[in-house]
Amino acid sequence: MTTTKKSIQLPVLHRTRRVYDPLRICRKCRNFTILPGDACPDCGKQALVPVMRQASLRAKRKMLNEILFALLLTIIAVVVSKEMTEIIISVITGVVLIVALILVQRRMLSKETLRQLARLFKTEGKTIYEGTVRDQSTAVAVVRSGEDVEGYHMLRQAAVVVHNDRLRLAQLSLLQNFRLRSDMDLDLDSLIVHDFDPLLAEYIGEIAKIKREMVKDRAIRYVIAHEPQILKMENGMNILVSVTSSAVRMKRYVTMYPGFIRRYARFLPKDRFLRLYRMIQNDPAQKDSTMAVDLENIRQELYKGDSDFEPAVTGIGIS
Amino acid sequence: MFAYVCLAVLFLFVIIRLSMYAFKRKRVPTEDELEKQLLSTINQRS
Repeated sequence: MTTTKKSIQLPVLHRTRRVYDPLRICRKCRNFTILPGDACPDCGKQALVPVMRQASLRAKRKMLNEILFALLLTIIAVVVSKEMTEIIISVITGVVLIVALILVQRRMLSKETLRQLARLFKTEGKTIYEGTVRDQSTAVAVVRSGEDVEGYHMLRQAAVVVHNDRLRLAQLSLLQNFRLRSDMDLDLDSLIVHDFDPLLAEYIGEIAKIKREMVKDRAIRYVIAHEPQILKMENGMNILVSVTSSAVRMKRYVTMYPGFIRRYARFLPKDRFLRLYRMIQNDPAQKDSTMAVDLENIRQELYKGDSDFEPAVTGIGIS
Repeated sequence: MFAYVCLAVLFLFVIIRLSMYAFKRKRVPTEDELEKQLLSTINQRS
């Protein structure tokens, strides 16, 4: 079965320092959204502010109320004073205490902001969750309207805070419709689901071909854990060979997953096999290992007399 | 006399607030903890 894939341009996901940075609250209706845009998706008002800013405002308001209360007490003390001495004492005491309060508050503002943010997450947990559900529904509606690139991007933005297999599979099912290229801003580790899914296996195989540096521990472990199911797939062997091909770029993976590498070493393209062969040959600890013996047998069988495999060549230049 | 009562209340108020700030300073959540809190809030329900 052949499917036509769309050539598209994927928007780049703006990555923030903290996962809560893109989360915003509407100051009118108190609903949350992770999606960008000026208007609140619930009430339509342009009153969205980042949660961090909202927490900072709450902290400042709380501190301002304390200062106002202290000021009020000072004013009352001045007003009810009967002598000039009392007025002077009241003013001096009030000013000294208020200044002390302000100085401590200024030092504590960043910490108080974090406390207010924790409080916001605790008290508004249900609303935050409902906001992310609404964001996902918005993304699905966008996909259904035919804007699958925009919809995928929205799902991806929601996936920054929503970590579940349903959302990952929704992204994978959209990604399979796109013609992926190495210059695209793609994810892999964040899309790995708990159980076997052919969509993910296909995607890992594709990534291994176009952006092999993205295939890391989690993807390799997923492929090894579901190797029998992948082998049953039409394109299964190609996927496994591509992942092996990616894994041999780092010695660490070769050391960590020797059984997997050995099983597919025979099917590697020559340059990848050569890289693996040299890596093992140049490692004194691996010289007499099963891996070294297997690779030597494969070399004798497939590349006998090939000058590229001459032992005089040192170093690993291919990535 | 009432002025001194007000000043005493003010003094107590400021001392209590400063003590609270000093006490809470040790119990401020880190950014990592806040991330975990948000992610668990959202993902426990989904």
